[in-house]
Amino acid sequence: MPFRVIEHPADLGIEVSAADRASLFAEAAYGLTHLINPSSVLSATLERSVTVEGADLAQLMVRWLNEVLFLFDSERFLVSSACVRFDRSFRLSATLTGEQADPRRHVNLQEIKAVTYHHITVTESAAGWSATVIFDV
Amino acid sequence: MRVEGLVYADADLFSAIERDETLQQVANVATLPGIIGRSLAMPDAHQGYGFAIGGVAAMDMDDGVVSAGGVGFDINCGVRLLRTDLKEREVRPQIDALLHRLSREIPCGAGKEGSVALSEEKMNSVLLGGARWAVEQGYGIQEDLDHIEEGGCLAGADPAGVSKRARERGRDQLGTLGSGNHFAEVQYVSEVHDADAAKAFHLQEGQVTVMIHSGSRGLGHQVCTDHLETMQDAMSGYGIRVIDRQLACVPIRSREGQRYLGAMNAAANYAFANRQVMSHRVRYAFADRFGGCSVHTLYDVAHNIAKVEEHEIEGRRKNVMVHRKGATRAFPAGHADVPSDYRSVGQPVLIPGSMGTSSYVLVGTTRAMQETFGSACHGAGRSMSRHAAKKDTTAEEVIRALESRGIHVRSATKSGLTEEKPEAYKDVTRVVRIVHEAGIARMVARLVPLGVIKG
Repeated sequence: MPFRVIEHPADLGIEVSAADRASLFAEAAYGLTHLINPSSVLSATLERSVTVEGADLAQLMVRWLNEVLFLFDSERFLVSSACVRFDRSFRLSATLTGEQADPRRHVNLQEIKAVTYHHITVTESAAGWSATVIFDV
Repeated sequence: MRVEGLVYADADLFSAIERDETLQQVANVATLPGIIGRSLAMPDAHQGYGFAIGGVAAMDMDDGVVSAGGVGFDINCGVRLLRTDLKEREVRPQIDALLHRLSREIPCGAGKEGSVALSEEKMNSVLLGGARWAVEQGYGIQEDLDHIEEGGCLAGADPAGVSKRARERGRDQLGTLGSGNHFAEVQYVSEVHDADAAKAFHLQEGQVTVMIHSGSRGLGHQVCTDHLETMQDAMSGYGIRVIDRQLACVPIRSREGQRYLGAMNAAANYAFANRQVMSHRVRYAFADRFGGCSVHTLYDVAHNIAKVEEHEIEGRRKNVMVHRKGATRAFPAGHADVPSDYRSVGQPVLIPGSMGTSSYVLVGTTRAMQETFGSACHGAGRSMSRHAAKKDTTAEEVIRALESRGIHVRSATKSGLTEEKPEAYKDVTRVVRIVHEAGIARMVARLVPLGVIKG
């Protein structure tokens, strides 16, 4: 799996890896969505577009995941697919498809309070791209 | 480090604290500009992000900083304790039906159905009025307000600092519990440790109480997120560099600092209103099951907050900005901010335990004013990660274990039960005893659960 849930003494995090930067950000969105909705399969009935900018990749990652979290908290929008494009080094645009959470089908939804900067990493190596993000739950 | 760190713990708790990054985080906070006295950690401390959970730090009003991370995402997460005139023997036989009724009155988990929907105009009134707004709308009585920290309404709230996004997240969450470690619990007083204080708080053995643990919901989370970003962008302009990005901060008197404090106070008021609405709905549930019983607010206290308070610093009284990140205000007898009917004994300090263990009522002391800026612990403190807690336990096993001890439970999610199982937390009695023996709060009564609603 391109993302895995990692331990934190009080909260939850994800470790993500991907071949390229855009895929890394898409996988991080899937990782966060998995924490919110661990057990249901999602369909793609809705579409949302977002543009996010940061001062560096770590800030861009936090701001990007904040968008995903906001879409859930305000519209109950759960991401099934993310098409991410980098416009500049620290700016991305994305088309998100997914569906609105339905309490009858999406059970065991977990509330995530926020995306934190705690121990955040976004790095490139010979093996590809990887990131670590901790969430407040 | 600009000041020393001080951790309240015994040898066992200290070894638990040493296992994660708590001590490093206490040290990191000690580097913040304008910190006064010591960087403190309560015995329930564990690793947070930026500040340790269980951390207390006071800042000079002129040279010091305010940190959004020093309050945390769940602004004014806190505890309300309600006391009833019912006895354990009256409630225990009906606990399942009562929990069923309570779970209909108090929405929990990630769902929002059953909340108080807020128009833009109403939202501003909530942000300015807090629990006072809720009482004006019929969710409670004046007596409730008399028994809430700051009367349930923080002055200096500035709705303009609360973004459109924060408002959107909070628009349909008022009166909801949330998830994570939030809960509503029906309990009874199993032991009284301090007869005088218990008498002042109208507590006696066998009496049924209800504890609500919740905060400012998505609105508060977004306020912290927004201002953390602002602080990150602004702090270099003030010549501030921090060890951990989550410690982003700005001078208290800066435009960004004042803007954050206005928004934080507004979010805190949302949290006070949230607990007030839920408390009143508890009254409906009890009235439905037990007819003419009475349900009074014993106290309501914040444990994620930054406040301007007067403390004695090097022999002089002065205002400081006290950050409490997972710590409870614990003011002593005689303090003007303690409700008048409790002033002879001190402020109630409400300490929720982990699900299915005990909770405690303590009372603030003069020593807390001398050592901890009038602060004590806020709970048991996690000892196991959520991931680890889920690994070897099923929700059904948690339910069976609790029921074998006479504790009934309802949860919005299965993961809510396994992640919050009692074994995932430190022993709350040990935590409370350390606070008691250190003299920063005094044990008054022990509360044992009959039934729990989990987010």
